[in-house]
Amino acid sequence: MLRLDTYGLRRRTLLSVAATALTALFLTTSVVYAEGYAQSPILDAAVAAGTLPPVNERLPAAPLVITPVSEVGTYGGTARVMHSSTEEFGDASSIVGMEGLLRLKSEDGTTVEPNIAESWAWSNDDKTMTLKLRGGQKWSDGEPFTSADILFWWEDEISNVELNPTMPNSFISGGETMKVTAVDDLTVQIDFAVPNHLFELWVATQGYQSQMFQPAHYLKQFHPRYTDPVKLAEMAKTAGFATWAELYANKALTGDVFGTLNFDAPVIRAFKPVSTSAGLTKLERNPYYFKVDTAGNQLPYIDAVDLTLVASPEIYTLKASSGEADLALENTTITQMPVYLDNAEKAGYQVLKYNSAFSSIANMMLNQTAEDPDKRALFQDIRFRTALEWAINRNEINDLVFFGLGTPMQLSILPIGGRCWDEAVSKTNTQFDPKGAMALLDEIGMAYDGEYRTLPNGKPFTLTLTYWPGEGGEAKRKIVELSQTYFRAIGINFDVREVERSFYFEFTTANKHEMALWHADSASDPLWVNSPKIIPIRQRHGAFATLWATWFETKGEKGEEPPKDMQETVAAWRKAKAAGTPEALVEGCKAVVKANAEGAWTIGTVGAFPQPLIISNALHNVPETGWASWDWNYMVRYHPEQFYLK
Amino acid sequence: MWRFILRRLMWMIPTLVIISIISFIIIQLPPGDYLASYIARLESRGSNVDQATIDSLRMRYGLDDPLIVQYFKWLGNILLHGNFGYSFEWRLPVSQLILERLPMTFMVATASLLFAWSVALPIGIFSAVKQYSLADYFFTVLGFLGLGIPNFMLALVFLYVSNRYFGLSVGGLFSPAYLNAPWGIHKILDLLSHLWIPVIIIGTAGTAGLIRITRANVLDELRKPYVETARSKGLHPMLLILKYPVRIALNPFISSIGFILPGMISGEVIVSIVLNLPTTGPLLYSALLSQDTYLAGAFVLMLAVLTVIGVLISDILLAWLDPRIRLS
Amino acid sequence: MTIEKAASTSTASTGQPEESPLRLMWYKFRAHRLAVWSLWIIVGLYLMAIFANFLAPFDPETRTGLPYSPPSWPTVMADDGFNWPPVVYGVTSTLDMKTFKRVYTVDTTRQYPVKLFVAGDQQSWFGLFASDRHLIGVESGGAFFLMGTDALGRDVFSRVIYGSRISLSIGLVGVSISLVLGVILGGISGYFGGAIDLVVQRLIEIIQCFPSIPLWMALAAALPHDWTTVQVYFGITVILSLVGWTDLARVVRGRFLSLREEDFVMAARLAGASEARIIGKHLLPSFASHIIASVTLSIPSMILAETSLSFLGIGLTPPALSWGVLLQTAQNVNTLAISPWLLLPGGMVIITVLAFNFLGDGLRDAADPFAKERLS
Repeated sequence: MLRLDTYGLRRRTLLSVAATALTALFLTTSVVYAEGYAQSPILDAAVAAGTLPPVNERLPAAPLVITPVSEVGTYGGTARVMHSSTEEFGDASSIVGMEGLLRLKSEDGTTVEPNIAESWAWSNDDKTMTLKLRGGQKWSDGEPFTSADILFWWEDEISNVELNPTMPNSFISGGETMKVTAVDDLTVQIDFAVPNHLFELWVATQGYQSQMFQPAHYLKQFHPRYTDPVKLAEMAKTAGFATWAELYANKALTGDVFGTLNFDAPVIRAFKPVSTSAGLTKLERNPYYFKVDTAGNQLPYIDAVDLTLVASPEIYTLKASSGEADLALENTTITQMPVYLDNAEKAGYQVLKYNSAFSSIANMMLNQTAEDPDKRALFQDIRFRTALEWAINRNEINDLVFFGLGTPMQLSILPIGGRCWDEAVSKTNTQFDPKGAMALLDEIGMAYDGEYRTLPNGKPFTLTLTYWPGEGGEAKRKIVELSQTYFRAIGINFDVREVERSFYFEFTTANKHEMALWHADSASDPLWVNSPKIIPIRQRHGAFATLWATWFETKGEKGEEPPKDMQETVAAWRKAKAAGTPEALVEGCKAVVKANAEGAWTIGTVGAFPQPLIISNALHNVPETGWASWDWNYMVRYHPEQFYLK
Repeated sequence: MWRFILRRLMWMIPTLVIISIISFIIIQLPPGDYLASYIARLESRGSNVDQATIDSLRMRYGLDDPLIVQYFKWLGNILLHGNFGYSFEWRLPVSQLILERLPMTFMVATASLLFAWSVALPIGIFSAVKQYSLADYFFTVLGFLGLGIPNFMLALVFLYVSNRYFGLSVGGLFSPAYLNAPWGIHKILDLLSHLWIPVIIIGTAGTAGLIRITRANVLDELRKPYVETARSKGLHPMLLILKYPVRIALNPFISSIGFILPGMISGEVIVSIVLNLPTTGPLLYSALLSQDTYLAGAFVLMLAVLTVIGVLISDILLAWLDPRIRLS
Repeated sequence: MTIEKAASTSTASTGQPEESPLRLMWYKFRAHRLAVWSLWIIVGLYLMAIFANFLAPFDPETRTGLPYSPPSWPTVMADDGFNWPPVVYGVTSTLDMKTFKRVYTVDTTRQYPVKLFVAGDQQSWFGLFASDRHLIGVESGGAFFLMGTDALGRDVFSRVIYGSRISLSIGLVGVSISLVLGVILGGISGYFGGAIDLVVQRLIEIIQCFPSIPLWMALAAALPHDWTTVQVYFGITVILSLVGWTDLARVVRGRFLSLREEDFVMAARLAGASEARIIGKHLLPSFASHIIASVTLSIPSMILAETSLSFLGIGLTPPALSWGVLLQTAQNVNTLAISPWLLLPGGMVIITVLAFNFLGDGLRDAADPFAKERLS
């Protein structure tokens, strides 16, 4: 028996946020317009010429209706955005959007709501998820979007061992791979071995185009199941690839979500790339986009997007602050605030202070499983960790780096004041008490010669921090510089080694570090639950106890068995993840945050500081406040298809 | 003469082989590979890369082969098929990426070179003729300034000033409006309005060396008997110098020609990174950073080979001009 | 014997002051006034580096609590009239939350006279002795920032002085390594000639063919990750000199090639002197002046390379303190817009590089005014 869960019924009653629920109802209600829908004037000629079907035929039977943030917009214009590398498309997706089968609601960023799928439902035992598609929805080339596209993605891409040698963890539950079946053209059923309610969160957040569906009608020509392998091998060779798999990956836009190299592949998103040259990629509106506004206008409002490759961060800042971009967010930093504000009026843009979703931009981690036995013993002494905590003047960091706008805290799950927030726990050990720290170090027996301290056994002691300075502008470097003086002030001979990001991972996963530093992301509710960095469950993000992380990741085969309290903390997270109910999630996040703070496992500094969002005066319907984080794919959370240029 | 050229050509073969090996070692020296840096990049922005993705990518890129196999695969493809491989990061053939950016690189390099010579020649001649005068010091200091200012700092200052005070659209060699426009007088003007910044920065960094060469040559020339004779007849040395400028400039120019282009290409890397120029410099830098093996390898190899050829040309020219070298 | 005599005259001549090549060189050198001034500047810079703890008004890590303070110089015109000693005023800083800029208001009623040997941060001189005296400064509270302060409120002038220790020594250490490599390999190559020469020449050619940036990046990335800042510093110096020795080797080889045919070398060889003795005793001294000139000219490129490495993120990084690090931290639009004084360390780099270049030119003019082939 199926239980309808479409409009977040369960969440609504539990969260009891009436206002949100009301909007939810409004947002997702399908309105059928008798006179038909309106479209962008640039499409009129094509429709009149008969090369493009009329808008009513292009839209699904029940388009998704979006309520504009402030008003119904007007059509037209080209939005200008930048990207800094072939992988970073934060600003681009903030205009273009990303479409998953489901999505997270703009208002709370927590509740799952329909998107491409018209509705979804769970069986009573939470083992079967049924997704219902919109009838009549089409790809950007006019071909229908059906359950076959999801099935193709599953059977021919994910389950194909040549494309995908190992089954991704996300699709395994209870040790078994999930099963995907097409009930009919518009209905897909996914079966799990064990209850897996949180899978809907995965569907809603991994919103890249290729995540759960692929244009089967287009990709079949590149797949050996549908095309003669000999001919396919020939095609691959002609295109310069060694195998068909490379050719397929190239055509399927795997890892190239913005299709800057392949303009043939049809899309579901609001815009489709049409050309790229000299670092400028041009995107045009997708005439088959499936969303309309409350007045029945087909979205998006904006007609085209110009995406410029700007690798240099300084040029990014200069361009953003001279009005050369309609939206800049991904590489803005609070440290550059004076520059943005300086030129805002002259260059015609405004600077909005969005929230960053870092619970600390610089989270320091003493390796509990350090190689050196003397140092390991010292790092495992909670008094030593506490001494380091107390040595840090977080208020000074906040003033000097974040203009006093951040919040000194230990790693927590944001937002501040949210259901996972615990004010007292967040303040644990954040007091600045160098005298107390000195007393603790004396108590451990670290001899002090007026400048530096020795190890408790009398050997000389240096503590080396290994870190990558990227992300957050100059913030990390400044915090590290300050920390060196804080730690030296209590007699710790503190040395710093900056490394490239891939070396950081190589170094920490090999357990070669004494202390590491990384930005504390994956710290927002409810997204923390997918891969929390606050507990050492993965080697790549378990720098504060690499061998424990190895132990958890290999299920006890390798690494070292962590202490009981750490095992209990990880168990609490596992429980929350398995249950997936709001109560379980809240219970879980409170448990891990508390364990981390009380155990002084990691040293948090300052978090929840603002992230500048630069919006040209021409761009409208952008919320005044919000979250600027990759957790929600930047502005994708706020329906960029209803932004308009005036 | 032909024997000399043949001998030099023969020597190029082992040099090139060693260069290809060292190029490959250089790009493989940093720990990790492209995949490691790719995944690290994704993870630093919150993505969680599954082991499955890593496995499939590793297989697809052939990164599991031992180094020696990768080297011979790489070299074999270059020699037998003219195939420089595929850029992991850009998902485009390496040759296409490099060729796309070469014209602009040559243009910036040539313009910088012309600029450097046009500044260095007069200063060099002047400071030799008026050796140890106040004016000599003044112009020498001026000419050497470019050498002393760190390139990246000068580039940023120029960027900022041209953007804030002259309202120029910064980054690249064109304003956004002309980026994809067909060539025309306006596009050329737009190009010129952007080009002067890198040209001055790269050019001034090179003037010092050229001033030094010119000055020494002119000093040398001034001591030759014909100058003495002319001077004793009452001819102003400056007139003589102006009569033989080509002669003065030729020799040092020829002997430095081998290193000019590679020097300019790697010299512009730092400036181009700051200025976001569509030249090869930033491409090389990002390829090295992301360990985009084939792209970086092709670059290093290309620059090294260009240098070898350049040195060859300058050796041949020098030998042609000066028979003593040929016979030694 | 005539041969012995010939050999001994060349050595004996150094004993006679009026004929000493070094003295001759000095006379010629003095004609190049720019070089003489440069020499004094360089001497001054190195003295500054050595006595940084005494010359710098602050400890480089001291946070004054006044971030982004513009340079504030002492004035003698306080209270509408001439005043001695000069004074600096007290300042207060507030953060304007509309512009996010620090606003500094000068309080002319609070005056701090500039004093010599003023007490300040306790400083140790290479761990030998400690003192809290600074050559010049004001009592705490006065804004005595000759080059302003940085984002964390540290005195830029003091940081520049301390930063010179690494930046100026990296050139010397690096060049010493280059010199040893260059003299040994260039000497061997030039003196013995033949197959050895050929191999060394190919090696030099190959190294010079490689663009420096990939070479730096590869070598820097290969530095072990558990090295301390000091070790990294030496690692970087070695990297720079590994690339830099080839030029010196060429100079040395060229000189050897022309000198080994000279009469006095032949004489020494006939007299049965060992190869090492001939090289060490006769050849090296005879072109020491050229080596000195070449070395002087390669120091500034090392100093510049240090800043470039920091810019590329593969050199020294904060909290280590060098001019390269100072410039790297200042390398952003924010600096130009609100705190341009953070670029002043660049001025020090310019002065140093120019001074070394002119000094080197002067030395070379003095060493051999008729030489030109080594220039290119």
